Amino acid sequence: MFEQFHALRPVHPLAALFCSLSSMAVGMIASHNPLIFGYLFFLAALFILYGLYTAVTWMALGMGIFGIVTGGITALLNGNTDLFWISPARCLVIGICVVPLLSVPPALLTRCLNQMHAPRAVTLGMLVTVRFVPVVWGEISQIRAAMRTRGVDTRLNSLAWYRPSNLYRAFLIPLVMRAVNISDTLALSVKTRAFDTLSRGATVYRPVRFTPRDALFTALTVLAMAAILLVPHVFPEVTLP
Amino acid sequence: MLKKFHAKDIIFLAVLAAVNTLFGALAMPVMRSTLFGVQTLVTCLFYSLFAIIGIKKVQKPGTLTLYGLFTGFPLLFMAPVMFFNNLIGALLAECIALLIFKSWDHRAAVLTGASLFMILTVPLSLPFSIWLNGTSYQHFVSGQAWQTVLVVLGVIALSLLGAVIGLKVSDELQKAGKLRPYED
Repeated sequence: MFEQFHALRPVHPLAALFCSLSSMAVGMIASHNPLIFGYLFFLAALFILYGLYTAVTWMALGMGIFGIVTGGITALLNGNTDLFWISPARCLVIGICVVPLLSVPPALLTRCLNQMHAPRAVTLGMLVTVRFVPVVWGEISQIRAAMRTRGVDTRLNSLAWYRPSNLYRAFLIPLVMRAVNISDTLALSVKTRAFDTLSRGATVYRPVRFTPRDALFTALTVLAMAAILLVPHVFPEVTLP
Repeated sequence: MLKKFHAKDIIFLAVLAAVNTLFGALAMPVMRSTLFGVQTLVTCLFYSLFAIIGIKKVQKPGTLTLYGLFTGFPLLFMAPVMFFNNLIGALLAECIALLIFKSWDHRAAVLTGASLFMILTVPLSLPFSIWLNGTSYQHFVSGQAWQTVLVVLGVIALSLLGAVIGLKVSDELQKAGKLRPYED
């Protein structure tokens, strides 16, 4: 889904999961602290050093603009601009902290879960869910094209699109039918390759290993989290600008 | 009572979860809204609709939990907390439905489980909303109480509506022989 954000040398999936979740939680807790931008800058620099510059740039830009707009609207409505900066800060926390997870290819996470002997049903399902979103999107486009040939205006601003009879008969039923057909074909394909959720053990040809590079990434993220949580206590004179 | 999941069960639930993920994107414009539960309100109809189709095809204990796991998985990359919200909501809904009806054979069980899935994520999202929006619990019970009540009622109504539509779709497809439950 996020192929353009995948790194050439991604961080270990579990390190990425831990760093994303914990740095986001800490960022949210510390979002009222004016040092939050320093924290975000440090994390962004770390992620860029690890080759995640595309994801950092796009997420920071997108979420930053979104935060400024929502913060601006809130400030205008409330007539109070003092805490305007909190909204962009929170949006940036979400946007930047999620980058390590975004950069991990789902196949790598699945392989890692396989190594940890996670149930194969779970890993297969996760992989199919993520991989088939673009396929389903393609199917929806085809259904809309079919609707157009039958005289239904499928532009999102068209009222004909929202008529229950059109939505149900011409969109929903074919969509579910296609989902059933896709899953039947895929199940057959998986079965012919001798894949079974009930069999034990699976060979992972390229095991995902936790390297010193991943350890350093985790340690630096933890250091940033500790700093943003401890600095206000150690240096209480740091106040709002 | 416990039946093992085969690859075809998992794949069907996962493909449905992929469909659901696309409809879940409808919540993107309201993602930063401070109105409590509005994200659930926008998506609950689709979640209960596709959940019911999944349960009607894969009538095994654990189906709804797996469905919650799969629908939550793409959210793990975008809003990690929502993943746990989805998973716990599905698990609780399944437990309640199976405790009352014992199996997915009853239509009422399917309807209850699929409707409760999204309804239960609303109270679960309360701590998340407080944490993300920086508001307090008092904010929901005093200042925004009527809005919260309206949104929760809307979620219940739309979840039920989605479940009823899902039941209608699955009945129709089962009659056409396209959505027969998998046999072991």
